[in-house]
Amino acid sequence: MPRKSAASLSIIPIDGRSSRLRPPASLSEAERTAFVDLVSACKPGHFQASDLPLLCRYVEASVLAEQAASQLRLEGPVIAGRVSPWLVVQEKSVRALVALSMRLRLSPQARAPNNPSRPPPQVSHYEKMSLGHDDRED
Amino acid sequence: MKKCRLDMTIGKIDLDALELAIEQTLAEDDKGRVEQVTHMLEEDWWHGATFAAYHRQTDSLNLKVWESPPCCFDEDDIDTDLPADDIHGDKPALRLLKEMLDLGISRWHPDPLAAIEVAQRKHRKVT
Repeated sequence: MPRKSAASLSIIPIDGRSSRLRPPASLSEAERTAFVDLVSACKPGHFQASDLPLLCRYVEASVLAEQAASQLRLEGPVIAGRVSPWLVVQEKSVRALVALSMRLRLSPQARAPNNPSRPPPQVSHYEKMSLGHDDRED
Repeated sequence: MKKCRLDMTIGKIDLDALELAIEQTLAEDDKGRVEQVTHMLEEDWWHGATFAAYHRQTDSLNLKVWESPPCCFDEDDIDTDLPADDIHGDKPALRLLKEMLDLGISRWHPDPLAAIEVAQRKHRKVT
């Protein structure tokens, strides 16, 4: 039997720090919340650092779509005989969401067909807090 | 006020929270857990009640095995200086505890996030 290398016998240290992407400080509070909720809902390795710009655009579009939907619910799609400007905002933000969800593999269509049926493990609330919290505040 | 062992007394907010934790724990499908807590309550109500709160908080916050729920601390711990690595997650626990206490929520509440949401909604209605 071949000798096992020292590397294969070494203990893998458990690092309590999150391996998930953190929201950049430039995002608004609502966008940061959407960002943390999104990365927490996916497996830790789903997003790479290079996905950060796309993720930011996705949450910006998501928050804008929510805002547009809220305004349309409040005022209706037609105001004083004219189409509400929020309809255009909603249309554009939803279009961005659809396009980005494919690139970020967030939609059912984008996910691989042989994905395991097990849901990702639940994320600790403390991990969510640390993702959205600036450590300099401590 | 309820009298506990060692002549301790606890306020109504804490008592209500502990009783809610017991109620939720004893309603679980896990018969082993129900049996465990029932036995603990019979031996020592305070021990059983605080254990139920610990268990429900750990569950509702999806905490990892090494993370402590807010009920493990009290308000005197909030300003403690913690080590930079904080691998036990004490900093988020203390931040959450502070938020709970500031909103008048008992440290023993079994579902801190739900209680915070209710309290914040009430606060928004009043202001």
